[in-house]
Amino acid sequence: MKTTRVPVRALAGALTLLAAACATAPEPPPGPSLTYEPTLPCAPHVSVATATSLTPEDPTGRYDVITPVNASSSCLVGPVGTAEGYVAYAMPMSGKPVSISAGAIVEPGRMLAPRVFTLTADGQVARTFPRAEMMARGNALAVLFRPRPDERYVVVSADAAAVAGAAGAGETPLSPYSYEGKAFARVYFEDPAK
Amino acid sequence: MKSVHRTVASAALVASVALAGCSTSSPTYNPVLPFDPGEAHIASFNVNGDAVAGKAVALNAPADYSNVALSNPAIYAPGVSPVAAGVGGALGVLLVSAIAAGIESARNERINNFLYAQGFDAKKVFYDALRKELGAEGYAMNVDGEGAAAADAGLEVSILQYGYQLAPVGSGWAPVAVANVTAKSSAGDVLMKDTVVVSARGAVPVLAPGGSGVGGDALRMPVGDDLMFANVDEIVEGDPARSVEALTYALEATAAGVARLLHNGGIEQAAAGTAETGPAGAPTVGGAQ
Repeated sequence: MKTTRVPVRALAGALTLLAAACATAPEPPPGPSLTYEPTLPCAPHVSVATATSLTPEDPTGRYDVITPVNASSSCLVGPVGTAEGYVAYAMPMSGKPVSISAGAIVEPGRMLAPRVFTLTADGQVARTFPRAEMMARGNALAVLFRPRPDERYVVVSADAAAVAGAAGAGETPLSPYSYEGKAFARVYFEDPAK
Repeated sequence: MKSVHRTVASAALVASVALAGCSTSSPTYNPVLPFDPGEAHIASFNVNGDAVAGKAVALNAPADYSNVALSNPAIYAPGVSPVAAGVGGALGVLLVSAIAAGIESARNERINNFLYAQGFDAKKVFYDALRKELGAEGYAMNVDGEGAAAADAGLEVSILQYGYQLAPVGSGWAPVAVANVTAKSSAGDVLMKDTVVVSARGAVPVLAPGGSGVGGDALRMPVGDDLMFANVDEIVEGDPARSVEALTYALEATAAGVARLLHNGGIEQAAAGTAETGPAGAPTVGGAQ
């Protein structure tokens, strides 16, 4: 399913404020999860068996998939030995994808601390993108890359070191880093949507 | 509520101006492309000389640039039809809104007269900043018409809009800039295509509960709260150094964004290696390592 945003945000924002004045107070947005208690056992490696497809029915234009990362997500034992939730996305199998953006949605109270890497068909790590290469675009923090022929999956996982605040001096998150949040991948196909 | 009236009025203005000039071309879709020079080693760029076109604008329409997208033109201005938005693509819509703002020409005149009186040279501010930012990334820069040296690649920057704009969430006026950027090899292949937006975000990023979609494509450079103004009077009759500082920031941040998009020779160079020579701490996958 292709998602296309039509922001009537300025009007919607004002109307939301008006509506809120008459309704009960809206729930505050969730704050960051600073610990992670996965319900599934964590594997030492990514399982691609349940990878989410990035192939829309009509592989044109752009195609977004947003996936919550929470206690019931697949999890792996990350580089610092801590459990990290992740989402594996299977690269498009049709159309001409020219670029892919992957990372985390910036939510008002928190954001998944994203680590993004790609896998080959046999599950080997092809590339790992440093967070220094990620950029604030739209509502997200993402790395934009051109998929290589040998890459079959792009994985977005929580970065435990970043949540713990050990990610390195000078990093100012757009929203407090969290183990739980929303991962996403967006494919840009060469051909415009019909 | 005043802000609703303003929004609706602005949208109506934008719509009326847009429809007057619209064509029936379909919206222009442009995939965003990260910088990838391939085998070439790019050490210098030739930049177009007309990056800063037109005068500064003062847009009395609150805007959240989270959705500005090269790849989805029909999304910026509420009330503008996708067909109208298609004229010139997403960024044509921004021009349209600038035209609509031009209808309130008295306000634009005040801003531009103020900048002229201050001796503000937007073109110089931008190109000086671009040279410095590209230099920090290891690139030399020529500008069209200067010098005879051939550069390794071409950089086309088009600052469609710069000036001051009513910021979202009622926080006042903030400096703003929007630029299209394309890098091309000497053979004409597109090496990078993107957009940079300098804008204030407002205190709460998203009003829709549960957040919203992925949003736009544009690389967003933030604007600090210290560069906000209560109204146009404060911009043109307040502390002139502050007003100039704010607009200088918008143009310098645009240059920084352009250089950021060319960072490290491109994403291919920046990404770490394969499983065999993978970086320490990369997650292990599959069986044998």
